[in-house]
Amino acid sequence: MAFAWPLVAPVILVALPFNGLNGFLLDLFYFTFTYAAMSVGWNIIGGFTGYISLANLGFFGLGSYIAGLMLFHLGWPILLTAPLVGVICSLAAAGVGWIALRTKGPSFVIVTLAFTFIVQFLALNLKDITGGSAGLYLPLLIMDPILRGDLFYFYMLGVLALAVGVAIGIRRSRFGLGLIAIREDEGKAEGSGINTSLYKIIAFMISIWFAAVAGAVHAQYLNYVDPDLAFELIIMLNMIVMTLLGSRGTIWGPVLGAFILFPLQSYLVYWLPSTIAGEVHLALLGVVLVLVARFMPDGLLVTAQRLVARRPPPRLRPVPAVGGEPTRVMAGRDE
Amino acid sequence: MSSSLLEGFAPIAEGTSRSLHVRGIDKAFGGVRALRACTFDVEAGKISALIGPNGSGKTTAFNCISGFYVPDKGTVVLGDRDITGWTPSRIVHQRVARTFQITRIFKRMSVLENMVVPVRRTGLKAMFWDGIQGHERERAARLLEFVGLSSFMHDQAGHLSFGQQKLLELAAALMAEPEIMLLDEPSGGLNPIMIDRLTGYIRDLNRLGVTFLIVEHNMGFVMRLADEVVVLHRGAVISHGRPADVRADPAVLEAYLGD
Amino acid sequence: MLLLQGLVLGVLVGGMYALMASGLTLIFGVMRLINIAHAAIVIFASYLSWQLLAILGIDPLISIVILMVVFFIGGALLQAGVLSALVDKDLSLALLATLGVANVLEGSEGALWTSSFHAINTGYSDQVYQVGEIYVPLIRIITFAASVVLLVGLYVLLNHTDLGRAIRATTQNRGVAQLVGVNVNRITMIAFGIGIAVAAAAGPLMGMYYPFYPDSHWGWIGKLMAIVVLGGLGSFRGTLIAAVILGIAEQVTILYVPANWAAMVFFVFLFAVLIVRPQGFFGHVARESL
Repeated sequence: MAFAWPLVAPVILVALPFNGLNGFLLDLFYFTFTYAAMSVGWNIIGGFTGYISLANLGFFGLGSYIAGLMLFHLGWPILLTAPLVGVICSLAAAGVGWIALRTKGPSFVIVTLAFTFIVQFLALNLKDITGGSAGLYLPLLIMDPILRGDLFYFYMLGVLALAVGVAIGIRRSRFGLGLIAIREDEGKAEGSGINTSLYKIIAFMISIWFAAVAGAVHAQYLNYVDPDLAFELIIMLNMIVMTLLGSRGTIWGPVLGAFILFPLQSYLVYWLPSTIAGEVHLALLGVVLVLVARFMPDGLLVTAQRLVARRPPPRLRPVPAVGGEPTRVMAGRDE
Repeated sequence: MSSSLLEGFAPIAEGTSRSLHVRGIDKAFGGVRALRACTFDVEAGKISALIGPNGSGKTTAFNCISGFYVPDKGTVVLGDRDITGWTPSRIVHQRVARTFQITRIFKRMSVLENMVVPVRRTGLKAMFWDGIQGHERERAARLLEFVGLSSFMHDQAGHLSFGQQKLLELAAALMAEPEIMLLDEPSGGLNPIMIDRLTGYIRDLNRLGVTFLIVEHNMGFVMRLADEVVVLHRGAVISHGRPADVRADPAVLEAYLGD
Repeated sequence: MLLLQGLVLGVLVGGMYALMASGLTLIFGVMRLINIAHAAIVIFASYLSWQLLAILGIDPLISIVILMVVFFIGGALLQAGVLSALVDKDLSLALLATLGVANVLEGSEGALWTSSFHAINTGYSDQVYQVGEIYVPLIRIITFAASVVLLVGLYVLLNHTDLGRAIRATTQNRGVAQLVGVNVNRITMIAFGIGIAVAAAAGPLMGMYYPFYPDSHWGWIGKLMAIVVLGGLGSFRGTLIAAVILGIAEQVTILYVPANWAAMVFFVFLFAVLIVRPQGFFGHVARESL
């Protein structure tokens, strides 16, 4: 059954490290889980709600800095403070969202882009606080390297599981239906009684939590925070391409996108001449984004399901190809 | 269609429903004054119609009442509450529902999902976790039966015919049990048989206490159905009263024939 | 007087900002699309102009003409091949495509020219004129003059030609324009091409003004977006006025704070406008687009 894999995969992923994954693979999975979690998060505002956010990168970096500074000055371990850092950033996101989401339309992209730029600028220029371009060196986690690898592996796997759980909850719930209504026809949604501004801000806050947590954990992973790494463009681009390629607006699409694209990129970048690897990587990912948007905008998951089911364009929810009543996905509970 | 199909649609008790008072609304777009000192009442429990030649400001008035436009001047009062400038969703929560001139439904959602969108819920779990509840599905099923769309419940809304989509829009608006319904050209594009059906639905709902304000071009439809007619011309109210009175009013005839 | 200096420089730089932003506004007008790649195109044109100067000795002002033609064609092709299909289906996809293009340009620049700073230096780059107590670098006068010429040309095109009329009609009401016989798809393609061409024209000018590097378009797109929001999305006149206002604000601020911080002025204005009057000063009321 093609759709049993959501159940089988987590079991495999939990068991893997115990079967002796080496450090390199542990790292690879760590990055993949991180990207998957961030993509699932981005999908909440970008996919379900249809509002393109470019702020997730800004909050990834902000999360890195807040967590890094708390560790640096107060000694608070990041792996414990990460969720709190996420909440702090979500609250900040409420403010950003309030400015950007009061009107329909393009102001959201503009403000989120401006936000990311401003945060990076501040990280670079508030040298007394952030260390400027020299960055901040963080205390190391003293532990066996493989154990350390395991730690980050399971931590981000946990965050990913949480992200997927949140996505499932949103998708089946009133809140999710509201977000989708906003995406499909915001005026009609508003006219149906959905407080669109509030819904959008909440969706944005949830989305940002995951980006900020990922950023915080990554700061510990690197033991270092600096304005270039914390705000690397490739991170934002990847979140978006992974979600789009996997299928926007679905639960598992972004996860699929991450699991395909990250290992693929890691492998391919290896073949690029090192002096321009980063630049060519960026350009190629940009090309991929344009191609996916143009030629496979529905993404892999939805396109695959459509081919397997061989029926007219699917409804909003991807319909299970094998059995199942069509709208069971909107799990009704008969009382 | 008997009103027994609307079991579960709580009839609105005599005296508790509210009237809508539009007072002195001005609304301009750039140089164009769409509404000038527009003033009229929509009496609770009655079917009122808003008519007028093209460009007279009917839909603009609608949009001001339902929160989609903010009036430049003037007030919209519901019962004893000033709702001028409220956001549309807040007005909907006052149990005022509307349809649109060009039918708007969520084409990529199923008919059932369309029905469930307007349902109000409270509580964290109800908002963020629960799927469609049994009683919600039942209410949707009953309303869909009322408008004759039961067999399409799980179909994609965009696959319905034009007339069916209009009825879906109406049925979905009823899900939140509105006290007042604002219908923008509900008969637009419908054939005479469908128009009769629609007339029947509106009468049935009105008997249960739902107040209607209907913008219309179709005179026959309006005159048969409305208790009270308000005539707009160039953004101002030029006549109002019972259909027969308005029809005979020379100012109205001139407005329609004059320009 | 220092303030007067700031004012004068502000107007001069404002002219160039207006040129850069006008293409963005034009594109938004016909497609309702925020072209995230707009500043990246300006920078890319700067690089090409630099290269033309380095290899063929072509003066940047002359390269404007070449670049405008090339980028017009490129822009039209991009619109016809990629964007038009996306805009109809789902505007957010078109937005993502422009994001992709921005990154392709940035990555290519880094690969071809490395990430070090570049600047276009001509023989006359260093001259400074003095009028009373005000010092004005020649470059700023030249770029202002060139910007004005191009903006006037754009204005004439939009307001006194059939093409311009068709573009304005398409901007105001696409459906009605189509009804009266405007080939909206072709007009959109041409308008987009013009928008890109204007951006390309700003490239050499910008390159003579400020040093640039692959990343710098992110700072610029932020500023440009602040300008178009302040002026009201889609309003050409609004963009011009907002560009000058923000140019002045920036140049006056530079007198008091380090130059890179002065850029923050744009964002202060952006957020202020969005809080107080989201539709900008010449745009349409936002809620009504529901």
